[in-house]
Amino acid sequence: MTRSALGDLEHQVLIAAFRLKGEAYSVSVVLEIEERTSREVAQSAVFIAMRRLEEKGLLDSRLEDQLEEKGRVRRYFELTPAGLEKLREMRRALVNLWDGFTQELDEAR
Amino acid sequence: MNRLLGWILRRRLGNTEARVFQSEMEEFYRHKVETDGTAAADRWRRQETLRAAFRALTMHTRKHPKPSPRPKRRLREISSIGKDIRFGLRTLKKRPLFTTLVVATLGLGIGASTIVFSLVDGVLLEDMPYEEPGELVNIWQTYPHWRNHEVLNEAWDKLGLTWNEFHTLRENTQVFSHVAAHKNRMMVLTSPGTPERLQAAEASPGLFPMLGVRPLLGRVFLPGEEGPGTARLTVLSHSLWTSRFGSDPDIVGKAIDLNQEPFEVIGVLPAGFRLRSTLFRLFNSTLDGGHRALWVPLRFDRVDGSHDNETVGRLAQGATLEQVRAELDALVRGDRTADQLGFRLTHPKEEIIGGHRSSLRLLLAAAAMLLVIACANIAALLMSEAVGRTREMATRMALGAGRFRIARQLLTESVLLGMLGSALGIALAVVVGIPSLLSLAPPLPRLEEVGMNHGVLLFSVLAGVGAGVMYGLVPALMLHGDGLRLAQGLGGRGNAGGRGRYQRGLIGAELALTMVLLVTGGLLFRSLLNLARVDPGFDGSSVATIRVHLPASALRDSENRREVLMQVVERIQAIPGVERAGAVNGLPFPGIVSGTSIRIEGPSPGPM
Repeated sequence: MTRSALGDLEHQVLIAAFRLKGEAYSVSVVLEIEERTSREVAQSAVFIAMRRLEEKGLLDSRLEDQLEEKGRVRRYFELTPAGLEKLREMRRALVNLWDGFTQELDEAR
Repeated sequence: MNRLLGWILRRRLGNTEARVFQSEMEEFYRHKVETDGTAAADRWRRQETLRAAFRALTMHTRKHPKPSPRPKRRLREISSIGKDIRFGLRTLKKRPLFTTLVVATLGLGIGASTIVFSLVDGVLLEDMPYEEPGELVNIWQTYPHWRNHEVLNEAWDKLGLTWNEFHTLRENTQVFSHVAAHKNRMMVLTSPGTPERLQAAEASPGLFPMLGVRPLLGRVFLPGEEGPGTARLTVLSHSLWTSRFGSDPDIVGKAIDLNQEPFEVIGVLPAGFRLRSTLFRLFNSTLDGGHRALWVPLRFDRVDGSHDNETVGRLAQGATLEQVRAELDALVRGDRTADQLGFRLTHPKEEIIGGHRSSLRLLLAAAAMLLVIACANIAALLMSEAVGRTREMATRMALGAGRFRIARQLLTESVLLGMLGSALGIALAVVVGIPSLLSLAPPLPRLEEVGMNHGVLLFSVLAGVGAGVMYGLVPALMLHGDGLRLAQGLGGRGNAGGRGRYQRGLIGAELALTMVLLVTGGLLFRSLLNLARVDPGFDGSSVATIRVHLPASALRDSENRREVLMQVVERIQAIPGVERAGAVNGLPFPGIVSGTSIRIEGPSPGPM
């Protein structure tokens, strides 16, 4: 696996961050992934994956203190242009891999 | 656990990200409480805390915000250590029998050392719970000519001050910033509840402020509350307040009956406060005794010459013990010669620990030896394991792993084993060891201070890691010299010779240590047997003793005391199963010394 390749979780986090449109932080991303995959993910894993994606230049973040509650703070993430490009590339690769194969899978025993 | 996680996160992610994570985790926890209920949310939080700590320790990411390129190398180092740890854990998981054997051996060794260390820490190392305990000095009078006396020799250097001497010292001292005294007194709590005989004490008003002890509730005694006719006031110890008065927060101002007289409770002392009496321990066989259940103001009589005021002073700034001696010579000794009256100065802690120091050190050395033997056993096990792993090592070396890298991996594995052993040892000590120690140990002073605390915990973890390094070095060293060939799987005589030398050395060391332990243990056991065989001069089997306190206020005169005592004896004799009963004012061995003050009219006859 090259350094720019993404793991499963990073992949899922990137898609969730795209869907959440600027409202992505560890809690919303975990809920989004759990809802769509019906599998539990660890918040700490998502938290660290998001920082790793930012390090790779695929996400960008902003820190927000929650004024309605003292001491509460969140870091929101958004896709960078490189992140969007990565997402497109991953999608293309997957679609190509599955191309013309979906029906066969459904019918296979 | 949360504080530990916070610390790990701050170290690995920086303050801001640690704060963000904890805040977001809290938010998710609240979400879990709403959707799954508190129990499930708590379970989630426990698991997530462990997962987060592990991930933070082994993660590959940088701190946020991005640091300068310099720490990058360090980070790579850390992440490769993280890799070593993960790899080590996987390797140990693959060899469950070996891992269990090593962890159990080490757990027992560390458990035993932890128990002994908790004892040594509580008794010898922990400071006394007073303000600046190093400045406190106990003042004893010595009567050198009593030294060879048949009865009085026990007490020749343990006499307190008389009230007059204490008063003179307190009023005129230049070397002490404070001087205070306390004195034993037996009291019976007659109401509320069933009567109970209590070890109580009288205190001069300056005692508690001098020790830096602030009452938990109410106040302590004030100047002017001591005297011949003292105010009927009492300050309760924390244990009496909780056991007899159910921690009543409104106890201050209430009256309780002591020796059938009403006393007003003016305060309650904090839980950690203890001030033991040396005299009590001297004259009563209970070594651990002298814990006072309640306090009353110092009562004195100017003609009372009893040496029962245990006097404590706090050294003034810059004062030395030599100056104290000079002052005592001038103020207290007067015209008596050094042979008639001397002084002994001790620190309160020394006073209490006294002769137990060397036996505790011996015990600690024995436990350390046990741990070293366990380490030697494990080293031998690891060595035979290393032989089994020759192929793995050779493959890794062929793939380019350096000798140092492999040695580090082996060391990481043994340190991991050490930490697992620590965890088991700590668990054994907390669950089985320390509780049974406290119930089975001979009555040692300060036993109640023994327990698991940060110091003991640190000791156990360090013992585990240290042991890991110690036995891990042996197989790691085998990668060099003769052992290198072994690791490369070349075989031949050289490797067998190398391994044999290490193993012979280990067995020799183990045998030597075991012999030392056995011989020491045997000698101690023989002394114990000899002690048990000593003939006391009477048959103590099937004899029970009961202490009875008859407060003077409850009796008319000494004739009445005899009558009451005889009634008590008769009633005890009437109990089925009791053959004989009798009464005595001093039991054999506890060496009770009783005194009566006589006032001689006319000029002073001088010292005894």
